[in-house]
Amino acid sequence: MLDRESSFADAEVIATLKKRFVPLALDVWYEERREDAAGELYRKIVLQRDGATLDKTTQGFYAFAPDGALLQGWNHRGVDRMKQQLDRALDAWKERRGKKEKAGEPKGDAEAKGDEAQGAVDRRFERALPEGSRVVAVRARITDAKWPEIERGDPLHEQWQEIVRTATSLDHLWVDRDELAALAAGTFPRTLAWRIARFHCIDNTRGEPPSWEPEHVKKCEATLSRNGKEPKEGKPDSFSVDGAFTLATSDGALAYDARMGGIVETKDGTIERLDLAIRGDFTGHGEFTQGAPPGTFTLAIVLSLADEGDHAEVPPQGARWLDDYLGKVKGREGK
Amino acid sequence: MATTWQLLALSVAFGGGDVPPVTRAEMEQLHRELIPAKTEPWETIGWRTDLLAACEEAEKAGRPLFLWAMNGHPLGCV
Repeated sequence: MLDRESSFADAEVIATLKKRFVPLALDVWYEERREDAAGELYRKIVLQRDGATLDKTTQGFYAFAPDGALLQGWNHRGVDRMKQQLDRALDAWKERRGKKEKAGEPKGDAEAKGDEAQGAVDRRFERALPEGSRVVAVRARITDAKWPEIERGDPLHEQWQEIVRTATSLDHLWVDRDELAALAAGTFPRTLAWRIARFHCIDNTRGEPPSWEPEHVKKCEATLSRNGKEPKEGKPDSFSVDGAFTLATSDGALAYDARMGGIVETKDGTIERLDLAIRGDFTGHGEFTQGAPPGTFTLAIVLSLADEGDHAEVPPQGARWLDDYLGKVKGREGK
Repeated sequence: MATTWQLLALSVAFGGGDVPPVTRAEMEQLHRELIPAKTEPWETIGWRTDLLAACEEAEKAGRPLFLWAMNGHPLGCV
């Protein structure tokens, strides 16, 4: 979030990355764990950076050659730092290419490897959208809160504090084929409401929050009601959504009490519009989402069918625990 | 058996279900406010999401790679 709004919002940084690099974005959770060519290369790259260890974190920024040789690696934020490191990386790249040329070596780092040479993919960490499913973009923002005074003194710290107060997160929800069919037929499937409650009613505006455990779900309701009369065959149909979620840890330190409204439009059994909004009272923060407003604040979440630019290829955060996310773990599926 | 005070405390802790419904107008307003009307600057960068494919591309293009690695996918999650 901070990087999107600072370093990657800077015109010079954007131009450099687009013209001089091949830019890549990865979730370290998968790359650190996968036992295949991609995981091996990832670990080779990141462990060359001072301070990067698998038992702490390898998150950060890395400029590297196609063979995995590190040019620059850092884990500090800020536009100036980003520009400085990118310049250094390009200098290192130029020097490396010059040396290769002088030695009469090909400028390239390695022959392109076919799929066969890359070996088997570690399927435990593959996250492909289930057949017949659709992706819904999920965005969240704190819309009302009693924020404390901005701590003054360090301009960068001031900027971070301001960014998180207006930040909008982005995640993805997978809706499977059966759930789409149920929606098209005028029923809000329980499995979908449960997935939304556990994995998407979260405050992810400052980082990775915990998802809700089944025992945290006190209320999870969602219904559809047809707008107007039942249409003739082949004509568009429209439904209004009404839902309610009450989620809370046993001590109440983390809680969300919210309502959901929205609209579902269908034609010929296909969902043409799925717009939802969840709004309610949120309390608390997770281990990695410190800095929430004190007390109770309003968290709004909007959901709509993903389109170009929503990075629909990125799996839902909750899909790290794929079977749980898809409701396939007995006793946790909320039926 | 839970006392009245305990039930009241639970009700407060869990919100008590008194949050008003989200109307169609509010839903549409929230969509306007939270969904960016245009592509945001960071999205114009053309991020790749496959390490091996990106390395092959960089090799062919004669460019270095830039990796943004986060706990939680940088293009999603947060």
